[in-house]
Amino acid sequence: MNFSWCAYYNDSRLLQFEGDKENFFKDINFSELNNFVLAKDHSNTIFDESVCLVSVQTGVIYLFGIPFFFGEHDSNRLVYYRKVKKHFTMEQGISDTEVIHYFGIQATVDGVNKKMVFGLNDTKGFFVLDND
Amino acid sequence: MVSTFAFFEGNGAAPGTIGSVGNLNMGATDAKELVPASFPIFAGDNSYEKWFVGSWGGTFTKIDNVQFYMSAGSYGTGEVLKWTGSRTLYVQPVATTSTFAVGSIPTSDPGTANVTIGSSLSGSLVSSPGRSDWVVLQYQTTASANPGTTNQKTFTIQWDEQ
Repeated sequence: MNFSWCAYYNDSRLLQFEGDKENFFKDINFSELNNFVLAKDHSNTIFDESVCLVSVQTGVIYLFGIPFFFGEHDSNRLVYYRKVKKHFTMEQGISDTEVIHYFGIQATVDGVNKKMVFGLNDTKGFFVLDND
Repeated sequence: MVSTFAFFEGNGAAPGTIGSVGNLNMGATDAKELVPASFPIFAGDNSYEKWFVGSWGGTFTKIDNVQFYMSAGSYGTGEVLKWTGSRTLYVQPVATTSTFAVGSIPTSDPGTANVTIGSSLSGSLVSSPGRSDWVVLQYQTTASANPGTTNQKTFTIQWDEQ
């Protein structure tokens, strides 16, 4: 599955990208990021904002149009991470590596660091991975 | 930003000789990358403990949530692997029944960290290369274990990387 996303910067500039997983986030300037939008599936030019819109500065995550308010504004940041799985046998050592890509938002809520992470894959579609 | 990963094994008397390994073969000697046919484990005996760490290098912001489990394969008659993922100090491997590797290895994704970093399951590596605490494995058999090679098992070590 390919991902399509766009990033809206504070000054309204728009960064669009369509590519494979390894190039998922590499072009974003996080310090200037305002909104992040992820399309549900491979698409060319139209980004489906009804699927996921992360408003980094205001701490609002829209999933399928439903707003989730999250965190204090000045502590919010978008986070991208990989879950890496190394499969091995005793005899052969590591023979296979599986990488799953996630993104989410980190914030300070009532003085506690919180993380809400989302995933997108071929079997689950869009899902909340972690909310702690 | 992508990390690099390798297993490092410890052998011999503490502090041990520590080096990267391409496999984790277990047998009746304390040596890395041993040839099992040369050091077979007789039915009713244990392997020498296998002491190893996960080691991360390359470029990353944070490594945490390290999990270890048996992701495929099954035990044959009279065989079991015991483990721990939280030893902070290396101890010379033994072939007597381990006092460290006493837990059953999870047979599915445990969902939360079960290998410590810096003595804590919530420990992490931040920006700089480093390693997990020691993982200790021991292959234990009973007299009813079948001769020959055992069922192949697949293990998975996984982590979160930012």
